[in-house]
Amino acid sequence: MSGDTDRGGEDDATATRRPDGGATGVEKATGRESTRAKPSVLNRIRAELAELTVFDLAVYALYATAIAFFVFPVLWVASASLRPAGELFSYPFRLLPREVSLSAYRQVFQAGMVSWLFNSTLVTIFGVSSIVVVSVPAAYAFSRFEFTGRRGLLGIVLLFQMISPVIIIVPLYTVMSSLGLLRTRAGLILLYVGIQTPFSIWLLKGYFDTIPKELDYAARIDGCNRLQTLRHVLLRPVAPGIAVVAIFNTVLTWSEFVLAFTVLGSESRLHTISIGVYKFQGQYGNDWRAIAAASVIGMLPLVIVFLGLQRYFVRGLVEGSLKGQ
Amino acid sequence: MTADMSDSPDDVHLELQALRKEYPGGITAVEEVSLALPRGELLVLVGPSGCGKSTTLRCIAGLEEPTDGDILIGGESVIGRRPEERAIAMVFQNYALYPHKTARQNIGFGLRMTTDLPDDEVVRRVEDVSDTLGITDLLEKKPGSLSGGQQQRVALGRAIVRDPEVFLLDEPLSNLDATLRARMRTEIQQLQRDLDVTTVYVTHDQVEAMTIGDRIAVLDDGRVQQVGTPMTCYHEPANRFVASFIGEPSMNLLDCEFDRVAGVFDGPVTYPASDELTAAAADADGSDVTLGFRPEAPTLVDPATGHGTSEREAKSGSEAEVGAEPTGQGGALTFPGRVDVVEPVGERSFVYVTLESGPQLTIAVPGGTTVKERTAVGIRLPWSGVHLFDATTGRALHHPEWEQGEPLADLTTGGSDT
Repeated sequence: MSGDTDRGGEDDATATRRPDGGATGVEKATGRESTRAKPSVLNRIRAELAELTVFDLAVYALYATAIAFFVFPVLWVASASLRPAGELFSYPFRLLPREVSLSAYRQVFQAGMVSWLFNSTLVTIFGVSSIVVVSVPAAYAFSRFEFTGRRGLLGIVLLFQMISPVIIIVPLYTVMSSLGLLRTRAGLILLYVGIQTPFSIWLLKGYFDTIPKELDYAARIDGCNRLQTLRHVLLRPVAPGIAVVAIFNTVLTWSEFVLAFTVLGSESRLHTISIGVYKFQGQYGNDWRAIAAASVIGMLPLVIVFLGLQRYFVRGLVEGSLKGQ
Repeated sequence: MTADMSDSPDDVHLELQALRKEYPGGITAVEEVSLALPRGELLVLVGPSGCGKSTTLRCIAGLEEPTDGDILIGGESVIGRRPEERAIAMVFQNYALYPHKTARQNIGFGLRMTTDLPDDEVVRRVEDVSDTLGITDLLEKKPGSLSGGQQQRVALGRAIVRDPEVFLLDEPLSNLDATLRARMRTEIQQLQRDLDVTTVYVTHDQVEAMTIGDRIAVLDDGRVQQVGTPMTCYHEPANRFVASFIGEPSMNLLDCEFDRVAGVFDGPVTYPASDELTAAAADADGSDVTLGFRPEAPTLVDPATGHGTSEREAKSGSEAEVGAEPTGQGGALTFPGRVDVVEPVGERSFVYVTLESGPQLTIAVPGGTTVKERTAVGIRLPWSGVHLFDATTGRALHHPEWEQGEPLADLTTGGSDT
């Protein structure tokens, strides 16, 4: 119950903090900002609420619905993971556990959670950094160099992106097998790099394209060669793009299941978190509590990564440095 | 005087020889550009957008390799050298400051990359330069928190800290507002004189070109149309393009056919030729010529009598320099028109007059003159205000006389000596 009221309060807070939800709200917000002379917080909230129009309320209602739609499954999984054995399917159905129990978590760790986390971390760190290392110079080249076949090559890169890896999984398996990369982390990492690089190149090329060419020129006049230009001058302005690529690929590599399961197969010592979650559904029926607990643990690192990198999304580093751009 | 200096080849510091730049896909940005700059000169490359001026500048900088031709700095070809080996520095239209570096790091970056000067020497030079430019208190700020004028100064600082032989400025003022632009223009001019560094300045703004340049080179279609002092380009435009490009508002041009027998120009107006004009018109490839005159050249007269109206009288004082009118020809040198619009700009007004035969002319009258819109007027154009161009080739055939030793020209050359 308390969880529900909390969420309600949060919605109100968002409402007062962000009155720019509707098109009409924007002008009012600035006007209000300038006329108000430091009233108490309570007065301010009251004033904000008084100025809410029906349209604003409708917009917030829509926000709330959307948020609930996405947040509910997460909260439900968390709630399911915290129940003692047997409570999940008890009748009547309960949203919140009657008593909190960590037994599911204990079970998950006993089943090898530490090893899965370790494997996933390893694969993600090497995979994502390799993707960034490959795609940043490639995107730079595509954005800045004029060479024969540039457009064609870009098209081919895009074409690769259009092929779903699941479709080519059988030939991939054969190739991996003949290269001796089955049941190795390196094989899985290579696959991720190969599959994710095209998209990352395109995304980063877009970021490079927004940086004026004059920065390159200035760097060259200041004595930089191409790689130095990239390292000293362009890397920082393009950092938001790299952050996006990193987050996107982290989410994907961390949670990817089909390729991981195919490549790693029976080598349980190398299994990643997604395979770990899968292990709790099997011939004896699905252990939903354990699945929920493993999912919650699996989600946490992603949340941490996202929080760590999110400021790069918000900050436009190149903004303001070039007038009229 | 500056024109004379360029004639002695010993003094030539920066030279472009038949520069040509083609891009893949058959686009030729620069057809043929040859220029020679004596040491310490400020040459303005001016022309409409797409005329090849920025490409020329980038070729000098080494950012692009010319397809053909040679670039010499101090007598040595710099083709194939990397930008930092050319002893040039460049300022860009959008300043291109490194957004994540402070002003200090921006200015010092080139020194750190190209020299192995010790840290304290770099710091000393950066501080010297920022002292010159008055930006010492901005050194720890990042470009994002600097105003346009401050960014401009940092960009200038980044250029001069390397003590370049040749200074390249690519439309450095076009991102500033009008007031700041005028101030920075003076500042750049001052700085260039103080440093006595050979400078190529690119702009599309002919007023800026006229005011800042020792000499200007007018470019169009990838070719140099004319190189000369601002006053030469204004008074003796080499061809139709220069005539219409230099001067604000631009020169009135009327396409006519020269009737040799009658000795008149026949076109939108019928205008009798003087002996001089007759001789000049004979040089044309055909009989098609273009009459040109500055808005200041003609006077407005009463359409009925052809004699000076009250406006005409009010204006007569300032008209003295246009030259003596041919006696007895007053009527013939006048053609009728109708006033469309009067644009007062202060000390003078621009009157737009449509001739009965169609074309619209711009006439400048003193600011106090009262001219009514939508009334008939006569335009009296003295011979002494007429330029003549070959209509086929655009080549100039005749220019009116002008005083070469004008105070403005003196000021410019006098300034460069100090």
